[in-house]
Amino acid sequence: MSDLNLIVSIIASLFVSVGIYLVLHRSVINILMGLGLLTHATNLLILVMSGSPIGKSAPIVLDSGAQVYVDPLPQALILTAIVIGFGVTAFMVVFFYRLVKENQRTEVNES
Amino acid sequence: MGILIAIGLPVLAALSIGVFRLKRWVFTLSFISALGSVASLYTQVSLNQVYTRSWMPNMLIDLSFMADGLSLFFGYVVSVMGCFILFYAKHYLPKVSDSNPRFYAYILLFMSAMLGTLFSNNLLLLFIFWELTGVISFLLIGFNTHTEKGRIGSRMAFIVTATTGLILLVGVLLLGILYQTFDISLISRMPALDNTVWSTLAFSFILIGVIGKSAQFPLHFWLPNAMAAPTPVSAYLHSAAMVKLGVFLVARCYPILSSLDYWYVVGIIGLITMVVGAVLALLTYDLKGILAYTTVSQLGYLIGFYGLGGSTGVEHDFFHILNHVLYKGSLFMVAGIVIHAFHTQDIRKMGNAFSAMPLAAIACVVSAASMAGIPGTTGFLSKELMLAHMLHHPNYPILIGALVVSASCLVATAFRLCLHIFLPSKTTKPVESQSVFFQLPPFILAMATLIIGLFPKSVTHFLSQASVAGLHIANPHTVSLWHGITPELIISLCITLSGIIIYTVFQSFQWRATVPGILQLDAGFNRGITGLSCLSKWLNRRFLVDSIRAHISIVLVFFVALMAPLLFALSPSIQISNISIVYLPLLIITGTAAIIVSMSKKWHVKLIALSVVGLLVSFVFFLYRAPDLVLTQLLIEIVSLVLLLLFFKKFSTMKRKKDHAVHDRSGLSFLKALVSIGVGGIVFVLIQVVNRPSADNPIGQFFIENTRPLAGGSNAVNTILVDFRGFDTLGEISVLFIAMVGVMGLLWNKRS
Repeated sequence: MSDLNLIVSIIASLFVSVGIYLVLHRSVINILMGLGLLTHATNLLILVMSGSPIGKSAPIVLDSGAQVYVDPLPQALILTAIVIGFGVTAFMVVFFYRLVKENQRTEVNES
Repeated sequence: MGILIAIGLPVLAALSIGVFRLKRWVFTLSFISALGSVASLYTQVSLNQVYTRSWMPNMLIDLSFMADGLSLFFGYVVSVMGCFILFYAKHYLPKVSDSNPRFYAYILLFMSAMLGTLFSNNLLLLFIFWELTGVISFLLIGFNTHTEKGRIGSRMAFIVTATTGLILLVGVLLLGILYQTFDISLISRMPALDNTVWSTLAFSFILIGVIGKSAQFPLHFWLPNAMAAPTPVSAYLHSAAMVKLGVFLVARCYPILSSLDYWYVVGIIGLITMVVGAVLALLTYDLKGILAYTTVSQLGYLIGFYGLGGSTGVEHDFFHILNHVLYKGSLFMVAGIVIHAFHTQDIRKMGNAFSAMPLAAIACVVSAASMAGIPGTTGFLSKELMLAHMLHHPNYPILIGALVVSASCLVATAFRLCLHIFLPSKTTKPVESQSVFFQLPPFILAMATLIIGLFPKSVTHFLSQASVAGLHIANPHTVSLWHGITPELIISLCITLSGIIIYTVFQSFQWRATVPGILQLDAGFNRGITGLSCLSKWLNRRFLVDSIRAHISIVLVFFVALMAPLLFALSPSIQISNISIVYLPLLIITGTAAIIVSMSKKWHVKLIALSVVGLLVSFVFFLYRAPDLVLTQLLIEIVSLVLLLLFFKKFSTMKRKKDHAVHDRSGLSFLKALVSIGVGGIVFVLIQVVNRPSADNPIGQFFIENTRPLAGGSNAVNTILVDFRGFDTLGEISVLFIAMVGVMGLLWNKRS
């Protein structure tokens, strides 16, 4: 395992830890942030699977002869995931906004 | 075809009763269909006839039916007894009741399921019908749904027979794998099984199925509890039909399994059941309970008989079965009449019933005599044959001893039945007389017992025609009433005498003994059932918490606890290289930002830190040579920031009247941190395990090679999104659209 992959996997698991910690909170702001961090963590996790990028080039095929490219598939998956993640975030923000407005409090009901 | 008609007619009648909600003529319809079933067996079915229709060929299940001597004999028993039971039930059931049609329909369905089991030529088909009989018996035992006894009894019977039925399925599957087919007529022509682990396993599983269905020790307890059923049901299911299925299966498997080393276990279980049932019959005062225990004993007698069988086969097994069906069916019907008259099942409160039901009294005396083995009845002949059979066995002292004990108890029980119900007694008043038609079915059965007992050759001739290769020996001995003064006759005499002694002893004790606690297995069974529901309630209380956060925590703790050992086992294969200094700043900055997000108390600080995290992620994308990702991430990050700023501003200015403003206790915070660190650690190890350099042929190579020739674009990521996986992108757009609609709905729907 190359050192870049190792660093990124450490970062991803750190995001998971912090994300879970935040999701377990009561306040909706913390839950939102935790979900955002979990999204980042998942994206990085997929990215690590494409292997070490060192010595490879971006997956844009030009005429300049044989080259080693990075795997394009994880990138395509992440691209989709980022956009969907935004949709989810937007929905959650508005949802929590309504929730807070109706309930007059920024904490998730416990029962 | 005749077999199909015999099986199908009762089903048709039952369905038409159910579908058209018939109220009148139900009995006539049922009785005619049952008679039709008998008639089609008699006229349309000949020996060794096979009817096959393909059903699920891939799973080797065919709609295949076969008539050999064994199935034909049992088929006649079931269908003829069915007619008797229907006739009896007409007089047993209340004259006008909404549930009567349901009763007839169940009985007819049960009859079909029984016939299906008997005539099945496919082991899996046999299993299906076998379980169907269990399901319908559940409905019949619990027919009086308003009584608690009925509900508990039917539940117990169903759990025992269905569970053992599933074990039987495993045995049947093993048998099918060993023979490479489920076709019974093919299997019976193949050589018997050798002694291997697999054949022994198949044998044991099938035996467990038999033990459950035929109420053998130690699962005998469901039968007395099933006596909560209406009496016609008891007379049919629990003497003539369903409990005989175990006996039938033993006979069915005899040719292929009896050569196994452990076949003698069948005999041991049968003999133990025979003794236990007979002794327990003395210890109960419930009339139907007494009959149930004697049935248990007699089933043990029949199964034990097969268990003792010789290497070449058995003889007169049909005679033993016929004997039991005749006298026990008759006794159950008499019991129904008696209970009808006395309105109680307690034999201690009965007496003086002769004048009210003379025919039933005669039937009872004859049938009880058959149970006791008094000369002139089939029971006597059956016992003599059994004794002769046992005397030839190497272990004859034990066998004879067991038979003497159980038969003496049955003699005492027979005396008790006749004397305590019908003799004049001072304590009970005379009861109202019962209709002659009501008493007719048991009387006819009792007369059959008597006639066959006196002239056995009239029946053995037919029975020997139904012999099955591999099960029966070629030239059976003839059965005759008198065959000189033999050891069997002397033992029989001793049995009768000791039975009378047992009766007088118990009479002096006023029959006060009850079933000892160690043999009350049904109570233990019920405690187990109750315990199970208590356990699940307890688990629910412990783990099903109302708080969502606690719920998530429990799930996560289990995730960590279950994954940790697995990953620990895989971890040695991970190689970790040294971390070079170049990337350390990245790690430090990202880590700090993430920790600020979690720790800071102010929402705008959190927001800024989260944006920093997003930007750093896009930097990582840059490191991985992903220009599209970098662009998208930056754009999305900016839009998200604007969105969050807009709404968080509103959050902070909104009046938060009801916020608790209490913080979690430090212990709880610590637990949360522990859980999240655990999950993070698991994810880290997971990435290392998943990411071993293994994929020699990643699918990405295909896209690289084909992006220009097939899609006409140079950027492989773009062509994947819009060409190769275009539909996925359409799905993505749909998700965004749905989110948009949701957001608009939430914002526009302004109540108040």
